[in-house]
Amino acid sequence: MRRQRWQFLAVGVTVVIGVMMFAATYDSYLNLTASYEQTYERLAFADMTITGGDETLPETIEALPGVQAVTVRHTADLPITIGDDTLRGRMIGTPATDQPDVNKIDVETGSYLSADGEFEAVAEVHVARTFDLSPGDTFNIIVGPGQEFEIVGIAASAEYIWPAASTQEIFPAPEQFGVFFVDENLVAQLPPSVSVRETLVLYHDDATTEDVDAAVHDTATAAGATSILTQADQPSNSTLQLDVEGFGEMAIAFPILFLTAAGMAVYVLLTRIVFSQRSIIGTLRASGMSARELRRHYLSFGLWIGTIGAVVGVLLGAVSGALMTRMYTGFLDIPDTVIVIRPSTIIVGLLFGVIVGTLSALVPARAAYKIEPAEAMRGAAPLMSGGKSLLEKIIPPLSRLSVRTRMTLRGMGRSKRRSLATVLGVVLALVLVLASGGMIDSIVNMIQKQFEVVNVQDASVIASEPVSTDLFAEIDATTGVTRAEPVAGFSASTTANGETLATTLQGFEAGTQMHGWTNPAGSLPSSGMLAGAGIADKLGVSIGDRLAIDLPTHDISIELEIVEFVDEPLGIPLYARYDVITEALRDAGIADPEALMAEPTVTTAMTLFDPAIERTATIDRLEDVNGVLAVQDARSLYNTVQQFLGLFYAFTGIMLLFGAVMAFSLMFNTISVNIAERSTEFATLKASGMSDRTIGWMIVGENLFLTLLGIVPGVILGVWMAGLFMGLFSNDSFNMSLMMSPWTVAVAAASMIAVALLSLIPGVRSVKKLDIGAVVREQAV
Amino acid sequence: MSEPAVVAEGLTKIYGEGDTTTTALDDVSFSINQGEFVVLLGPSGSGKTTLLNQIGALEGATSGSLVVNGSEIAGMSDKERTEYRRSTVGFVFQFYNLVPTLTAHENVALIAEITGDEPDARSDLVLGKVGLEDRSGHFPAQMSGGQQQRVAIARGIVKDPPLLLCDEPTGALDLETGRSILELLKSTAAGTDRTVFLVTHNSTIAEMADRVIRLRDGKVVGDDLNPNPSLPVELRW
Ligand SMILES: Nc1ncnc2c1ncn2[C@@H]1O[C@H](COP(=O)(O)OP(=O)(O)O)[C@@H](O)[C@H]1O
Ligand SMILES: [Mg+2]
Repeated sequence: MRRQRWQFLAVGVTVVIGVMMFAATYDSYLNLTASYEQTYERLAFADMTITGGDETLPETIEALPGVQAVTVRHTADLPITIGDDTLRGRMIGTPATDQPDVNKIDVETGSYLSADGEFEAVAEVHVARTFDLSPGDTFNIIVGPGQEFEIVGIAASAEYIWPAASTQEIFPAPEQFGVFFVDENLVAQLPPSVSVRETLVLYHDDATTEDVDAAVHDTATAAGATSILTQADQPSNSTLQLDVEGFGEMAIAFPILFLTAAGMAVYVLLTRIVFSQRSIIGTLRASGMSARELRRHYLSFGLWIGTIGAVVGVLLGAVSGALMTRMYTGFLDIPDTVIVIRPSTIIVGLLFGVIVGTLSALVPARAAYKIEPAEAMRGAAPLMSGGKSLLEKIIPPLSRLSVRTRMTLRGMGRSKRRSLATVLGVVLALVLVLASGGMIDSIVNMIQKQFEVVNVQDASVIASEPVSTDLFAEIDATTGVTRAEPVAGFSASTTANGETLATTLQGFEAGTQMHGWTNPAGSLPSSGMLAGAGIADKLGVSIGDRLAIDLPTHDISIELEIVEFVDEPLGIPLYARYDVITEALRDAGIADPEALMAEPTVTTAMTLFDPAIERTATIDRLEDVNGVLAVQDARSLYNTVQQFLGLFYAFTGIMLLFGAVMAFSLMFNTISVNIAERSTEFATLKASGMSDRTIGWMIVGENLFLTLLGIVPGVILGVWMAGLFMGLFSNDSFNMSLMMSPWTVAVAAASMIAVALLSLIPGVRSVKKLDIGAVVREQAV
Repeated sequence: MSEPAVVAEGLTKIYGEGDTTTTALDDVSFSINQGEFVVLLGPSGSGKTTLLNQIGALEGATSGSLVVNGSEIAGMSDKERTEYRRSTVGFVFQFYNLVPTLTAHENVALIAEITGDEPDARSDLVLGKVGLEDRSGHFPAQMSGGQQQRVAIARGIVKDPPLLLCDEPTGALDLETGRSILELLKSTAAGTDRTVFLVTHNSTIAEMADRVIRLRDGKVVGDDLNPNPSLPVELRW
């Protein structure tokens, strides 16, 4: 037993990590879900958010069975300034004095709107943090005559836990988008081209969500709503669910990998122990020990490793689960943090350990009680049968290799299960590393594609007036701007086969340099439009279909044919040439479409910057141009993501470390056992004058070969698994496909080889230290 | 007269340290001539294997000197020991210790490879000498104990070592087979300068030796030349 101390430790560590990962991630998953639910419940988060529709819609919906409350409010995105900064302010109408029935807010500092203070606002926590706002600060709306608002409170909202601007705009740059709650009466007064009316629906707790969803959906569609979002599709919630689901998947998949590895290691170790104790076993059997007692004895080994590992794992898991939950809710500003130690997680964690320990001890324990006393007491083990290796049979010329090399090849076949354990260790570790590495690669690649291939503009310049020829010329002439183009952007909604898609329609110049086109033709078509590939699934439409596109802010509908799909990472956008949209507007009966195309709320100019001139200076100069409302730096989100890259890689790093520990534990055990079993053989060869180095190379060769054997299926399975995870994460807002960097694969594979070499060191050293005299004297097996 | 093959002087080997030491060899001295067939005889635990392991440079000595073919073994480095074992000694063990994944031929060739050219031809030659030319493709598990021991002997002599060290080579074999193995050991040494050490606790076997060294409690209690060694077939167990 003492000789196997390190092997037991390695196995134990694997069990601990497996159980710990399970307990920590599964608890975090449940804690997060509970935290969200508590916040959603407390703040009466809408089960359905409907935009537009006729005046009677709220009443009709309130009468539907299962509906508990309906709140109507108006929302408008307006340019505002906070100090020197200009940004898009989302003004959400909310009743003064009293919180609404649906979508309440959680005032963290200051107070809620008061009944008499007309131009009061409550700032949402994200914008408050970005601009360091506190009660008493002000901001200005800069359209029309302009208006100053005083901030009276800072609040969290269930709708903006993740501050997404819309389904199409999951990642607005924090300096360029902020949410404020202001008096509903003010927002309701704005013209319909500026504000939208939203109907928020809350269901009864005991209502069946799917049924009410369906009823509300049908009613709203019939009433001509432009966007119907269930709670599941609500942009903040759906983004957060991605994360939470990720935890959920990981909580099951990764621990299973670890526990499988731990099980293999226990199996290898116990098989070896039973084998080396066979003469004792024979003696005990001969002296009357029953097969049952014997089996129980060896099963108890597995049980102990499993139990001790599980207890330690559950304890560490509970602590790290609580830490993870707190970090997560803190990082995302989730108003409620629910941390519960769940007996169910503890029990399942313990069961995992115990079951893995016992199951993997079953076969060795059976082997123990099946040993024939007479045979076992003879001491020497029955000789394993030899044979050529599979490789030599397949490739006959290999038999011309040196005997040493042939011995190396055949060594792998000595114990097929043990070799399988080594291979499996590599495979499992690679799956773990590549599945997590692949996810992160894909996210990084997705962001990169969005900003380097698709949205190639440096900034969007929003003007307060129609972008006149003069203003346009001035933007173009600003130092640092190399190119400017007018771009029309409309909120749009389109319905087909009973499904509604809320999206944007953007109009670009024919030869635009502001956008990269991922459709097969690689450019904007001269008639019709391009649509995000996700539209096919979402609406059940295909290339060649003509879609009616509602532009709710203008109360008109135009028709455009889908010419090709674009493959963009974010959202399901619609694109057409500027002149194609103008023509479609004319067809829709608009008398002067050119004027409409130049209305301030829909018209922006996109710019490309001179890389030699400092970016922020160019942006500052653009902001100073008379008539320019806001300049949105297209790179700012990209830069934010880049800052988080370190965090992403740290996560992959931890998985790499865990994977390495797992592979090490398995390999270290199989190699130790392999060498222990062959000590007589090695001692004999050393006695015959074979050098330690030659013997060492045979061991290294054998195990490196097994490692390579594991790398191939490991990489395939790991990439496949990563693809599976990505598929699970895709939705309307993210079109995730697996983009695995060859570097990730190379680093993972190289790490496996490094781990194999590392785990060989103790084995090779033990050959060097082998006491030949003692071994040949003992005839130890 | 040529120089002696092995000379031990005051050779002492103490195992363990502190309170629990065992003196396995206690001031052992002898001188063996080249080509002698030496039997190391003594009861179990008397130090026979320890002495053989000393001559094979498998273990270091506590004190004393052991000179083989003019070289002192005691002070050798690990590297020199490996080189010494490779060039000077062949081993034959009680339990054969063949590599189970290699055929008879390969087991011999494995050692032939590290000690010279044309390993295959040399291996075939010695397998012929031990009477196993038709079994060279068999794996150990497919052979009887006697056959395995023949392979082990072939492996021991394939490098043509000046010393062949055999530790109870017949201990696991039946009488008939044991005799044939002894026969083989004797015949392969006949007509060469090879010195053979054979460890046994069976005094009958001593009758075939040129010289018998008796050990008891780690001490040499007898060192006798046998003017008329008997043939193995004449041995009576
Ligand atoms: N590695 C060791 N450690 C301690 N004692 C040992 C060791 N090897 C052998 N001995 C002891 O040395 C003595 C001689 O052993 P050995 O040479 O194997 O005897 P023989 O071969 O004559 O049976 C015995 O008492 C044995 O217990
Ligand atoms: Mg002995």
